[in-house]
Amino acid sequence: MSAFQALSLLHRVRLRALVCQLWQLLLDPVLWSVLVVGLSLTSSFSRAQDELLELSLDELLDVEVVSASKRLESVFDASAAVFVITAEDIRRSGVTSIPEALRLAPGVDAAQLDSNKWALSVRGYTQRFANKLQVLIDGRPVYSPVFSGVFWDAQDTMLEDIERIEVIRGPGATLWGANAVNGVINIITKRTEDTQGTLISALAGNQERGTIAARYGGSVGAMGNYRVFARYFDRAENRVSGEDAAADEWEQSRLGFRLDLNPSDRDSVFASGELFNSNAGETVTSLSLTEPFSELQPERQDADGYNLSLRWDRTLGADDTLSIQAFVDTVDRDWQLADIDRAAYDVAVEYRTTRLSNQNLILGAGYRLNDDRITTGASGRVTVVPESRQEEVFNIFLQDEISLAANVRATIGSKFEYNDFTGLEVQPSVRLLWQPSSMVSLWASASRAVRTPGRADRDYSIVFDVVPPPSSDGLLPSLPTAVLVSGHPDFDAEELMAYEIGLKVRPTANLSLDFASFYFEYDDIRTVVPGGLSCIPDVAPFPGCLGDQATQATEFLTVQGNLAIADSRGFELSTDWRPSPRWRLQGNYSFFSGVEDAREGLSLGGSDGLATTPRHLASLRLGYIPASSVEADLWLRYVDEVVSLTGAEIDAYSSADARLAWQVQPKVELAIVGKGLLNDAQEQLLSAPNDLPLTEIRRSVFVQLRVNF
Amino acid sequence: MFAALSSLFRRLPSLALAMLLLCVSFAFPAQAQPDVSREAKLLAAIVVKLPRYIDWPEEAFTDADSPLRVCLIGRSSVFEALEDMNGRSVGGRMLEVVSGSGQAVQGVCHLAYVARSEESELQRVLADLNRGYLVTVSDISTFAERGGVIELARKERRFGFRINLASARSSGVTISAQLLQLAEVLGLRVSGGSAP
Repeated sequence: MSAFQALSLLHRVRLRALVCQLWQLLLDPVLWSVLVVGLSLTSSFSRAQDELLELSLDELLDVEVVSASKRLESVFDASAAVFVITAEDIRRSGVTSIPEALRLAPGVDAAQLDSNKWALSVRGYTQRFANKLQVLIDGRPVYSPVFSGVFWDAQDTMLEDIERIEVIRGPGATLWGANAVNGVINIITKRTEDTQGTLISALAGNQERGTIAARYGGSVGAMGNYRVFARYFDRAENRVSGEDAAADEWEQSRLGFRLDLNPSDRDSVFASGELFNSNAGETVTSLSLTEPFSELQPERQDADGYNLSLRWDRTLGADDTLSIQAFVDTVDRDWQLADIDRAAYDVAVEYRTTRLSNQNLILGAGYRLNDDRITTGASGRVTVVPESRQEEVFNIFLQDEISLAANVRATIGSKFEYNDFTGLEVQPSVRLLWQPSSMVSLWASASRAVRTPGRADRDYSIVFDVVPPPSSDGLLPSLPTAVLVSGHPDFDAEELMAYEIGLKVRPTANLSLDFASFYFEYDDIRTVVPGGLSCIPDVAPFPGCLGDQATQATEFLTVQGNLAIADSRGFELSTDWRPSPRWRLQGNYSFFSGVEDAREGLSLGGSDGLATTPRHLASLRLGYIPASSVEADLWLRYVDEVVSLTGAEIDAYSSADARLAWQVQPKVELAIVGKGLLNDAQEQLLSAPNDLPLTEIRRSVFVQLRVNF
Repeated sequence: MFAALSSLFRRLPSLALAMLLLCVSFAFPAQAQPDVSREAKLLAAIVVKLPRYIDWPEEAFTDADSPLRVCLIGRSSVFEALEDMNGRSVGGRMLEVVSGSGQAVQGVCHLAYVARSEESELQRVLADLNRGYLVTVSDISTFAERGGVIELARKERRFGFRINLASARSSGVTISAQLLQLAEVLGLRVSGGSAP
């Protein structure tokens, strides 16, 4: 079945080339003009080559090129807690999904809830609907404005084409805007120039029932390069604690492309797009007002969508660059809690200049339109009023990097963001960097960031639980109670003031140490305030209804508010050591501690402090190349105990992943990977709105083949 | 199935745009002139200048007339630009550009240029290339930290050098003070300092 689907997917790719030929006929005039421009530019390139060879080495270093990606230059020179997950890390760790790859970075807590759901956050507030993280893929934010968080089951790409993942712990709101509260995750795919040729990657095992991915990269002459890819996977179900099947098998197909063009020495154009379809199973807790009140039931959660991004970078002069990026992103989600159809349209302009002496100034502006329609899902637990909303977000920002002395640099800036829900949000930051020697880098920062409300905070109401009737005392009828959590139209933005300090040391070229520590102070954090009791159906006001035979249940209403404050502190320590070209050792340790306090009502962060995030997280990776065509990797992790929001305690656990790879031929790699080797299955966290049972993630062993030609 | 189809139809306009973009790429003849980008040419020009600033001991060459070999590891348009420079004279020796994987070039190369396409396998590639008189060069980000000798790092819109002196030492070559002055030298107390 899966192999057949994979084949049909590949077939579709070939079909696409055919469709394209038809398109070409239609597009001829357009193409002609593009080609003519391209050819005339080509001749100017050839002239440039001989000129280049005449130059001396230091003159060559003064020659400018367009740098399309605004990648972070060097972790060592950054005045923030940044960790970079490289393509090599992703390949050698044997991960098969983006959330798993993110575990390679310190300070990231990723608990897998079932095959297709994760609770992922940075520096606290780990929940399935974690809402304090900004995640971008090639500059396109992928968080859902519905709950201000990320549906991880919709985020995937050809893992082999990811160049790097930059994980920034701490706020990044000045550049990346609302939701970049606890951290920013920047997933950057490879430039198409680096993915030329054909790559086929396939894997199969007990849990990984089959993955096949194919990519083809070609060139468009001197103008640039492109790639197209198709990826399909099928994953097996896990198990519900104490039971057998979790019915969470998951299939996803994805088609995508990326195009990089350099129409002139001063311009670079980037376009990318994806089309995906995800079919996931899940076991859900189904609630009812009659016996048995709550029972487990298999369900489906399907999502499909597409996205398309365009970016144009232009060098305006010796000191200025301008970039314009636009994207459209849509997802249709068919879910038992809610059916969500949404689209985001976004355009952003960014201008960078080094005109002012010793300064690097960035100015930007952006507009975003979120358009959605959310209706009650099959379970009937969620109602949304109004069903449709169009929300606009405008922003401008400026950031200036100033060299105060040869080895001291200050970065100041602010984002001014206006949204329809909470109005103007100002998100400033100040950062200082001091490099007393080429081996030591010290930094400190203070910043403010906000988490703007999503639809879930304002327009939702959800039946959170049904409490079975207490044993009757005979006086009053014994009725079940539905606990309802409702959004509030005046729900405000959650706010963070963050203070950070860090030290990076590079004693030798092959050893680096990175320490970062933080103190976060939150205000206006989400709470629920108990409201009144009412009767279902509404025959009379409570408690008058209790004597009425028609009354089936009571309803306990709670309303969301911004009545909690919280603070958290912690640090992360990471080290990377390459004692010899054959050995590599990477260690990470993260400490986290937090308290949330509701001034009124109940804290949603958990009564035990922010206990959904482990106090201690440790990871040790060992890479060894015993012979020139063999790679051996071991990854050990320790995750401290956590308490799920609904109170379920999860014990501390350790896990081991291992990978052994053999390069059969220069172009063919065969690997065997084992994940979660220490236990048959491991429970990691219980989903927050009490809609899923505790699920144990099974050990996964698979064989992988990669062919590159 | 029907739901999927209907949603597909609703998206047709955007799909058409995506197709258009894809087709623009397909439309260009793949066998077009092997022209490469300005960036690739710049990188190639920098690489050819490098041997002037590196001292290989005499035993690195069979005799006084034997060529200086630059080997290309992986796949990159920089290679096409470099191949154009085959046969040029660099520091009194003829430049010979050779393609081949890490193992294939054992013992014959003086300078190995590692393409960014090899980034995900860098440690294995470098372990293969870790032997005498071979200087590794690449524009892979953090190449120097990861054990390479010379990294051509993108800094804003220009290239700069980052040099791992420990790797250079273990390969048995001497990098001139002139080149070190242009570079960020890793693991040294004084940044941009001269050769020890």
